[in-house]
Amino acid sequence: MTGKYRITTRKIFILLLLIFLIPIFLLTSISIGFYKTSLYDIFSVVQHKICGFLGLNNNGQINSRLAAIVWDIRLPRALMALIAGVGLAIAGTTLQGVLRNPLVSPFTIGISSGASFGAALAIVLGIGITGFSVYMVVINAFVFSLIAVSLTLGIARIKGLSQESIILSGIAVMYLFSALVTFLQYIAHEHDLKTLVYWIMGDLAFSNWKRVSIVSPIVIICLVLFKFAWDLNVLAMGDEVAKSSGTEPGTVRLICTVLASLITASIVCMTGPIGFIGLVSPHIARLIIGSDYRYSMFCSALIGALILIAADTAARVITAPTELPVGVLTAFLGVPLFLHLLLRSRREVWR
Amino acid sequence: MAVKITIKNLSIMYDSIRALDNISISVEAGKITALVGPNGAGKTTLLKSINGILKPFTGVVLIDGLEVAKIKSRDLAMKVGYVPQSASPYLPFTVFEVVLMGRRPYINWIVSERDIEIVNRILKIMKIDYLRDRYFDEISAGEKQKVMIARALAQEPEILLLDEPTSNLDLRHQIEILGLVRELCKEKKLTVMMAMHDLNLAYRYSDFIIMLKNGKIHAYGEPSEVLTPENIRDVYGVDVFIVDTPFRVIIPTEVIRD
Repeated sequence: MTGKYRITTRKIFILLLLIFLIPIFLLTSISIGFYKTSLYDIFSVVQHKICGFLGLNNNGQINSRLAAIVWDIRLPRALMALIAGVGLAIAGTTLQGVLRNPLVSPFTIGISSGASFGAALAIVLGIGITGFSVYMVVINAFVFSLIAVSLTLGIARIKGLSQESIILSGIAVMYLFSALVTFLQYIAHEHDLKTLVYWIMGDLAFSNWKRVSIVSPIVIICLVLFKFAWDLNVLAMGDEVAKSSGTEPGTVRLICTVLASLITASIVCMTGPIGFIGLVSPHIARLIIGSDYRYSMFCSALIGALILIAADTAARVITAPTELPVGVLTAFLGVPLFLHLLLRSRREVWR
Repeated sequence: MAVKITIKNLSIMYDSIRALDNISISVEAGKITALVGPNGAGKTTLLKSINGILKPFTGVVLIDGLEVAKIKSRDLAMKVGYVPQSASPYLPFTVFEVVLMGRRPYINWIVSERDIEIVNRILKIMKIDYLRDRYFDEISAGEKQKVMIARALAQEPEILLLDEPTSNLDLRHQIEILGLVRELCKEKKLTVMMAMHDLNLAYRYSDFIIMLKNGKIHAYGEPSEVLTPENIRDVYGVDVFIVDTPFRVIIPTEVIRD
């Protein structure tokens, strides 16, 4: 009895610690950069803006350049990193759970290549689902990533949505869209090609308040997925045990895959495919908090956010005044952390 | 004599292969019924049809008069516990976590004090409370089997289905596990159905035996009526020598050539 409580207390402590790190990482990310800002600057800008919204009087004068950098550029970008990190990590955890395979990530089932193809259509051929608009790339990427997932699930359905069938048809769909993207790259003009390659690397540089507000509802989908933690737990024992404990494996797998795909598609269409977060956050979470999805999902979300905020900060700073695409850096930050935990743990990470 | 499970004209198909062929049988409540028969005779298929994992091609399975196919899987999980031949999590879960999974049908999200109490009590009953914080993949095969039975018991079922509970276990674990099953059956009025390969153990530990051959019931009744040299020769194609004191001991002697 006491043993169980000690373990639970430890897990809750880890989660609280990670939650505490989130604002620290956010503030650090906002204050670091080519234009130096102090914590005081950040707070005064935020206070000024919030008072402005509420129609209250502010006595203090705010440097408009400082306000633009903190409020219009760095804050939405840091929040985008937070939301994208949470979303990709939750999607990864969910998919690894329903597909019972720790090598799966949101991109394994064709989402990223579908999104890349949608973006490529818009960038190279100027073909958009909605006709021309600034958001043609975004909408194309979103729609085509969902087309890719539907194709994956449609093929897998023939085999009763088993875990193997989803993974294998996902890989087939991924290769199909990758081939199409390669073809479009081949015929693209030099300028378009550069834009496309840059998009495929994944970047948060285009973040603004509008995009943040469009993406933020995915947090609600994430909360819905928490509801499935017990189903993911029993699914770990196999479909038969899951079924005999009252979980319908096929239904859970379909719902969870669709929700995880919606999350990933919403993020990827804004940022491009930022790899690695969805694959490695669930592992890091399990290594520090155990396999029980009730805890590991939440932990994974926090880890994903922390890695992406840190990686984006590093991407802005390392080669300042120019920037690296964050997709290039996520692996550089995640891999050492992952390997450290992996090599330190005495146990096998999966069977 | 109360009937717990009624099977009427049940056929089950795997693609075009008929795994169970028009089976009808009534299973006694609160008794241990063993399923015996050669590999591929339909033992596992029959177990899986009782807890709804496999859907009938024709016929019905009734539990307490209710059709299994029409019971919600969560409600069914509160009635029937299932221990498959082999199952293990792909992730490192602790023994406590695995047994707690058996509470799934009762838990929405939050684990109650009662859930934890029940899990602890079952760990004690199965004599594995010393394992509770160990990882499932680090314990022995015999211990794993006890954990899996504990997981099924955590569902507080009325029916317990065991698929070859003693295969690949050592002698001591075989006897220990079947002894525990017999105690549970008596104390909790559990109806137990178990697929078995070892005819001697089936004889000793079951109240009734269903002998299957090619998806059909070859014989059904008390162990002494079913496990005869004639039946065994017909179903397994093996000649046996039987010693009847103090238990019945079945010694295989020779394979019969066609």
